[in-house]
Amino acid sequence: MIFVTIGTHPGQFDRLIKKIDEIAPQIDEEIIIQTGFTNYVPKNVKHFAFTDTLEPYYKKARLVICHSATSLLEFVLTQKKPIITVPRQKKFKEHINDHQVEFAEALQEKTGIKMILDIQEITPKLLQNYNKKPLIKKNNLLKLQSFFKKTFKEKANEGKN
Amino acid sequence: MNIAIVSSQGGHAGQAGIIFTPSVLKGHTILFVTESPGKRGEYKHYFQKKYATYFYPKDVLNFNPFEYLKRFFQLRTLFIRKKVECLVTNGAQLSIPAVMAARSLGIYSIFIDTFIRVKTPNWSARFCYWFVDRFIVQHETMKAKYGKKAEFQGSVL
Repeated sequence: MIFVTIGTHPGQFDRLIKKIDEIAPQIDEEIIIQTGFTNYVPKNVKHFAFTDTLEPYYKKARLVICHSATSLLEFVLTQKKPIITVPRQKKFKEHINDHQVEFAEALQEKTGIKMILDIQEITPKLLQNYNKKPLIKKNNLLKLQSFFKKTFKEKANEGKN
Repeated sequence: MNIAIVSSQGGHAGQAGIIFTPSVLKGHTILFVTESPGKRGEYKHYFQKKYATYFYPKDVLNFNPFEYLKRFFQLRTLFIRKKVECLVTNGAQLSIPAVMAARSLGIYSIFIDTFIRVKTPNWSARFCYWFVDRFIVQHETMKAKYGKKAEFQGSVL
């Protein structure tokens, strides 16, 4: 199953939803889209606007396509699944600024998660064949956590003295 | 030690959840402070299903100086009541009154910039930079964007 999710940001994201809906008939795999606040109604695929938890969809999915929100970080760190990320862009009025592009670029550099800026790059062939899992190294997180452990300990000891 | 972790809702709270696991916070008393569209006040075991969490309404700050002032006094009272000794915050708007409240009480404060900004500094971090004891960025490249105080100590990814 291919799961497409664009979160709860109030901006439209027709660009992605429309494209997936258009190419869906050429893909021999179930596709489910979480459409959020997007007005466009898909004709060829299963879809829903919101749900309490995306967990069951993530679990079932073979491939996840999503906007480049920070919540993606938690997903990347917990589920080792192929992901393609399409950042919301200011020029299409999908977000108030281009921080999603910055984030998607950083993710691509650090983990190899594919970022798509030009929606035409989404093709049936790409979706059917994409199976690259993100490369997660936890050394930076462990470094940050040990910094806090150490700082908290030092401060707590200062307080006692 | 009594530590307050202050994060706006969404990606900020999400990143706080990734960094501040129970093993990092072991031995300390934690108060997580965040925003929510529905929840108000204190929930006993919420953050990491373990730590006390205090909710303020979401989006009301919205660059409104009166709301900031109100939140400053609310947070100051909360910090006094909970005997907070250390503040860690990672944005966004909620961190501004939090950092000011900590400053006014002489509480040690640490700001963590968001991971998702790689090139452009964000304005709540820029503001907090001047009032915190430690200022942590999550990309080496961001050090130069803020100033001498900025330090890289690791990142969520």
